[in-house]
Amino acid sequence: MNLFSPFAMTVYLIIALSLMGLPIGLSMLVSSIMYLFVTGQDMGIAAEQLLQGLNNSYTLLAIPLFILAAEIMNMGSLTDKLLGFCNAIVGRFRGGLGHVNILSSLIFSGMSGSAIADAAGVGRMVISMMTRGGRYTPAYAAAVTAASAVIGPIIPPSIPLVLYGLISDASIGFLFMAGIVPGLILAVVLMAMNAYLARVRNFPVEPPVPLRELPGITFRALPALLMPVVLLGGIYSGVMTPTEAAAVAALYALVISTVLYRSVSLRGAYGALLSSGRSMATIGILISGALVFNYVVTRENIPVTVSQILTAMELTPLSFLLMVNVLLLILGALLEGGTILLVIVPILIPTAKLLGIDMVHFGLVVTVNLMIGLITPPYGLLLFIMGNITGEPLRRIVAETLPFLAVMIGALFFITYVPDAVLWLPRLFGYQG
Amino acid sequence: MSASPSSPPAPRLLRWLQLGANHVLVLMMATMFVSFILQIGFRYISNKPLAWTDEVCVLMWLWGILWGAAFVMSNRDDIRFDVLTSHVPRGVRRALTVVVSAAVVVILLLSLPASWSYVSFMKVEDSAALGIRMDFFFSIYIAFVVAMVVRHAWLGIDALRNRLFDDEPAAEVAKEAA
Amino acid sequence: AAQGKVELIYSDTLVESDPRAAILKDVFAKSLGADFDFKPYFGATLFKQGTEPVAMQRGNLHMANLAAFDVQKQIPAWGIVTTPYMFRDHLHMKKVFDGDVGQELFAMMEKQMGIKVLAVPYIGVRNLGLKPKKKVMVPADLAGIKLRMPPGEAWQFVGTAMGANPTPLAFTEVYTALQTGAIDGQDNPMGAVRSMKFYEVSSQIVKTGHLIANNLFTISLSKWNSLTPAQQKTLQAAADRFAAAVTAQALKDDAEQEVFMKQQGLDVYTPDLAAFRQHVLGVYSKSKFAADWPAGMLDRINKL
Ligand code: NA
Ligand code: NA
Repeated sequence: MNLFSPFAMTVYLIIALSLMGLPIGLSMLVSSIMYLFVTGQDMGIAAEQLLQGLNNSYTLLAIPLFILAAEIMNMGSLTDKLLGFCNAIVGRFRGGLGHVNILSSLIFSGMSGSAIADAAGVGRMVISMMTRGGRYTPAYAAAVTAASAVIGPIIPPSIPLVLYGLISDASIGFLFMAGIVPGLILAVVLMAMNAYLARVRNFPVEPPVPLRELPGITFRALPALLMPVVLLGGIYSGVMTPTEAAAVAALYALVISTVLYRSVSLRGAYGALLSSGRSMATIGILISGALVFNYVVTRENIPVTVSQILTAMELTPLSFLLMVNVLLLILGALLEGGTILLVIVPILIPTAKLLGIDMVHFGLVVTVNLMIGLITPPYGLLLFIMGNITGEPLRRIVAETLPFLAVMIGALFFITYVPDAVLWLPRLFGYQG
Repeated sequence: MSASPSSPPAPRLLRWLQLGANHVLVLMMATMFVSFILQIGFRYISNKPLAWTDEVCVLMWLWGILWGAAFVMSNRDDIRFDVLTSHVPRGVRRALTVVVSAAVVVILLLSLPASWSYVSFMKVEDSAALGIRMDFFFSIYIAFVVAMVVRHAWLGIDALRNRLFDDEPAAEVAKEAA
Repeated sequence: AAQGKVELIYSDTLVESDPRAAILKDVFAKSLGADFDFKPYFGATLFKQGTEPVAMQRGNLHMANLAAFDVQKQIPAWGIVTTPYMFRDHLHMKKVFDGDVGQELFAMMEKQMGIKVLAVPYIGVRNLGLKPKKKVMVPADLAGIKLRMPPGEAWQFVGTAMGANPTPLAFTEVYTALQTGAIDGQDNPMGAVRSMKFYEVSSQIVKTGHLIANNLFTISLSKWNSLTPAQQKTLQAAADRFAAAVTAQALKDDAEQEVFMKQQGLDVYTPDLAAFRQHVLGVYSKSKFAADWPAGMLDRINKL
C-alpha cells in the first residue's frame, strides 16, 4: 500500500488531530472531508454519509434507550436493593466486597448495554462501600470495578453486539444468546482472582447477614433481579425485538422505581433524560465520524485489499482468530472500542466468512476483545473513568488491574478456541451454525 | 462554556439559551421513549402496528445527536485522547489547541457550501411515513456544522488568551449539578 | 481511473457472494471490454440502499441497480409499476417496459431525475412465506396475519392491500422474528427464502406471486452523455446481455427453489389468484396511490 496516498494521508490526519486533543469522532469527520477535497470529490458526500447513515440505522436506537434504562436504575433505588442482595449472598467470604462488586456487575449487566454506564452507576456505589473505613485501597476497588464492568456488554443486552449485528448481518437475537456463557466465564475467573488475592493479601470479611433476613432482602431485590428475565423472555417469546427491548428496559426501570420504590421525582426523570441525551450525542458523534470515514475506506477498496492480503497468507481459521485477537488487543489499547467495531471489524468480516468462521462466534470473540480493551493501558476508557471517580493516579489503578487483565485474556482465548462454549446456547434456541 | 453565573448580562443570556437547548434535548429523548412504547403497545395489544413511530424515533435520534453535539454537550463530554496533551507544557497545549481549532474551522467552512447543497437538494424526497421534506429533516446538520465552527473558533481564541476548556473543573461540575 | 478509460462507479445492494453479483462481473463487466474501468461496490457499502438515486443525481455515483420503489419516492407516477398484480408475469412485465409505456416512464426519469434506464432484469416473483399452518386461499384468510414488509409507506401499503397487517422490520431480523412469532410471515422471492433460511421457520409458501420483482439497471444521464456513440452502444449491449442472464437465472431459481422448499416439508400451493388480483387492484384503485398514475396507463398495461 502507498504510504503517501490520499487514504494514508487521511489516516495520518485522524491520528494527528486525535493526539492533539480533538475528539475522535470530529477528527474522523474533518479528516474525511479533507480526503474528499484532496481527491476532488463532492464534499457534500460527508453530509450525505453522516445523515443517511444515521437515518438508516434503526437498530442503533437501542443505544440511547439502554443508557436511559441504566440512568433510571441509578436514579431509583434499584441499584441499592441489588447491592444489599449481593452483600447478603457473597459478603460473608474473605474479600467479600470484591465478590459483591463482581456479582452486582453481573446482574446489572443483564439490564444495561454499556460498560461505561455500569462502571459509573453501580460501580461508583460499590467503590464507596469498599473504601469506607479504609478496608480496601481505592486503587483495588477501582480495578475490580473496571474489570467487572467489562462483563456488562457481553451479557445481553449489549450496545457493542447491536453494532456488530449491524455490520455483520448476524442476528442480534442470537448474538445476545451467545453472550451469556462468555459473560459468566468472565465473572467466574474474576471472582477466582479476587478470592486468590483476598487470601494472599488478607482482605477483610464482612459481618455475615443473618440467614433469616435473606428472604426479605431477596424479595426487595426481586424486581431488579427479574429484569434480565423479563427482557430476554420478551425477546425470545416474540413480544419485542432487541431494539424495542431497550425501551421496555427503560419502562420497566421507571415503573419499578416509581411504583414500588417511590424514588423517582420529576427533576430526577429530567436529569436521567438529559444525561442519556448527552451520552447519545457523545456516542452518536463518534458513530457519525466513523460513518463518513467508512465511505473513504470503502471508496478506496481497503476491505477488498486487506482480505486479499489475508487470503494470500492462507491463514487457517485458528491462526486467523489468533491474529484477530492480537490485533484487536493492540488496537484496543490505542483506539476506542466503537471506532474499532465500526471501522476495523468490517475489514475482517469478509475473511472470517471465507474461512468458515461462524459470524455469531466471531461477534463474541470481537466483543470480548474490545471490552477487555476498555481496561488495557494506555487507552482504557474504564481506567480513565475510575481515575476520575476515585481520584487515584492512573498507574496505581493499572497495577491493580493487571492480575484481572491476565485472567480475562486467558478467558478470551478459551472463548476463541472453543466455539461450542459460545454457540451451544443459541443452538439450543434454534441457531443453525 | 466558561461563563460564570455572576457576570451579567451576556453570560446570563447564554445560560438561558443553554437551559433552553437542554429542555429541547430532554423533550426529544422523552418523545423517542414514548414512541417506542406506543409502537410495542399498539402492535401487541391492538394488533395494529403504527407506521409513524419508527420514523419519529429515527428523527429524534438524528436530531438528538446533532442537536446535543451542537448545543448541549460540553467539551468535557467528548471522547478524546489525552495521553499526549496531558503530559505537555501548557504553552504547547495552547499552541496545539490553536492549530487544531483552526484546522476544524477551515475544513468545516470549506465544506459548508457543499453540505448546504446536499441538504437543500434533498427537497426532492419526502420522509416515508410523515411526509416531512427531507431537506427539513436533514437541516440540523447545517446547524451542527455552524455550531462546531463557532465553538472551535471560540476554543482557539480562548487558547490564544491563555484559557483552556478544562481549566475550571470545579465551576463546570457545580453547573452540571445545578 | 486507469489511463484513458471511462470510470464507472457502480453501487448494488446485493452482497458480493450473490449469484447476480457473479453475473454482473462475468457477463456485464467482461462485455464492456477495454474501454471501461468498471468499479462495482456491493452490499450497499458505498451508498446505503435507497440513497443511490440522489448520489447519481449529484454526480457521485455513475451506475446503480435501483428499485422502482426508490424511483417512486421522487416520481409518484412510477407507483403504477410497484402496484401488486399490475404485471401478470415476467413476460408481461418485459412487454410493458419494452413498449411505449416503458418509454414514457423512462422519459419521466430522464427528465425529472437525470437517470437513464439501461435494462430491467426480472429477479424473481414475491410470494408469501408463512409460519402459521392456516390455509390461505383468499385475501380474507390473511386477516390478522402480521406480515413483515420492507419499511416505507409504499411497501407497507402492499401488505395492507393483500389483506394482512403489515409490520416494518429490518431484513436481517426477519429470521428471529419468524422463529419467535413476532411476525407471522414475510414476502420474498424463493431465492431469498432459501439464502436467508426463512424456510426453517415457516410452514408454508403461498404462491401469491403478487409482485414481479425487477431491478432498474441505470446510469446517470450526465455520464451517459459524456460517452461516445460507440461507447454508448457497447454499454447498452453489455446491459442487455446482463439483463438476459439475470432473468434466466431468476427463472431457474424460481423452479429449483420450489422443489427444494417442498423437500423441506413446506406446503407450497397456489391460492385463488383471481380473488387476490381483484381485491388488491380494487384497494389500490381507491387509494391515494392510484391518483398519481398517469391517465389511461392502466388500460394500456392491461391490453398488452
Ligand atoms: Na449487558
Ligand atoms: Na463491578
